Amino acid sequence: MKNQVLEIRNLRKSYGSLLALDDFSLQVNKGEVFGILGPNGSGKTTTLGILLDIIKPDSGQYAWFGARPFSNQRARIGALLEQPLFYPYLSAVKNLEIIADIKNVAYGEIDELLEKVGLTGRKHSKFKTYSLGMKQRLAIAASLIGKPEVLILDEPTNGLDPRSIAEIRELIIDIASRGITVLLASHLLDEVQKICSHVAILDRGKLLHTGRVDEVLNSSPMLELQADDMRALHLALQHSGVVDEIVSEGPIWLVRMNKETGPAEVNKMLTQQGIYLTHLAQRHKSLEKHFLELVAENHA
Amino acid sequence: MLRLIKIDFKKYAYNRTFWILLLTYFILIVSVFFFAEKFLNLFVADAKTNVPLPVPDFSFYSFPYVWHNLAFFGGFFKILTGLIVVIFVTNEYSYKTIRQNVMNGMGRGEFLLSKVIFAGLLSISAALVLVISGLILGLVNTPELRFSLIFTNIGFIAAYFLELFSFSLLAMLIGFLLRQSGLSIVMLAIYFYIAEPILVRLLPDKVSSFLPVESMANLIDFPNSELMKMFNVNFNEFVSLPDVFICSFWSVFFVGMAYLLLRNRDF
Repeated sequence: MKNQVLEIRNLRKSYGSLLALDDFSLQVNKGEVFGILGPNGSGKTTTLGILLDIIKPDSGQYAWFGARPFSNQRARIGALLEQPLFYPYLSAVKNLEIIADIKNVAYGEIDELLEKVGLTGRKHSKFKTYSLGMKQRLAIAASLIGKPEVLILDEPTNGLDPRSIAEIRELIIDIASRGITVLLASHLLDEVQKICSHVAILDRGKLLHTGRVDEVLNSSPMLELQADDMRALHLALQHSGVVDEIVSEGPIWLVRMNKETGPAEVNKMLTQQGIYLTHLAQRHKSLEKHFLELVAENHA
Repeated sequence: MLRLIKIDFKKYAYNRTFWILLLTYFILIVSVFFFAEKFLNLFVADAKTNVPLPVPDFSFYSFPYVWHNLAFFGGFFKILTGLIVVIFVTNEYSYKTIRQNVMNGMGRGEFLLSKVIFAGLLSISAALVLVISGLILGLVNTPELRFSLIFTNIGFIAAYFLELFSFSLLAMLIGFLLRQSGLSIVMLAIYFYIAEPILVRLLPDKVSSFLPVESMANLIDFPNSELMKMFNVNFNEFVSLPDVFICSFWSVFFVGMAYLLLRNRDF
């Protein structure tokens, strides 16, 4: 398939007696923003490390752009793993030049990238004089050298202040909007929910779930309903035959409808019975809830 | 390959430690070259007082002997070029930049090759220092200068290069193996000054001459002097060909081992 950027088949990796990755398979297509979600130690970094050839798997294969991995391929991939790693005694510009040389691309875009991440004023300062936020921003600039088709990010907002986190998320969304495929590992549900189109949920090296983020979110939405006469509302819902579950939550009824019934039908049905809603809202099951359920199942 | 040189050049050219070490080495080695004769003649002068025969002073710097003499004495300081290689190989681990380099698209083999090239260029520069020093000293000190004399025995320059290069490769392997600079330096020094000398004593000559550092040292034998000839002591006046093969074997072996290490390891 032409659209397929990455295919992982049955990867397995153990560190001594610890099984870090257990029969892990995944497919990523062009243009997807793919989140690998899992608690710390679930095998996210190991997976990304294998894809970048810095960790050797015990068994299993992966293919980038439909081909067996080789080092020149990685010139098409931008990567940011864990903490930023640079030569501390070299300036930002020299560090980026080394990366450009490794990727075999011209230096032309370096200034532009430094401008984009807001480091122009300090571009000739040595890396070791940078603050953590600056280091992280330089790492992002580094990952964009050579106009990569795929961007791999491992916990890109780890340890940053709220403003930097917002900036970096915006940057990722901007990058993704230009058709670059993004593979993002995070233990932050909120981050994956905000940025990603697809998600793979990983726990203790096992793939628990994979699919579109909105599918996960939209699986059986709940409705928040409120009317002047809550008892009449409850009665009407009970006898409607389209409701699976009604839960009281403070002043509202939280209602799970069967699959065919949307908010519009509910509203129409209640109006016909003379019940006028004062509040109607759809509540998505959060990724967090889904995630915690899956992890709990895995541990059971 | 040019790409690898370009990449590595940036890593060293802007590093102060690198220049300090290199300059220290060059100053030291040039001083050794230029003062070796004075130093040796002290012994000859001492010998004169004890020996009833007239002992001639050394013609240490005259062509073609200068190449052999300088190469022999320069060889004692190969630990310093080895040190530079160890430091810059282990630096890549302590900065974790080896990881970053590979991630960015450098092959593991390419990374190794870049360090082999570094060791090679370092040894070539050291050999160039020998060439320049030898030329100056030879031109000044050769009584009857003939053009052909200058080029006699220049094989010692190549042997000097091989000695430094194969030792640098041993240092590189230790760096890749141990990954920590302090530990690697100590182990290199222990091997060079203690472990192998002990082995050489324990093993019969036939076996010990195949050891790496021993074969590197055997490449260039002790230079003959007039004094020694008087006592009928005769050392090899040519580069020892068997040792060229042994050293070359070790060089290939060190690179091969480093490749196996790098190929299978996680960073």
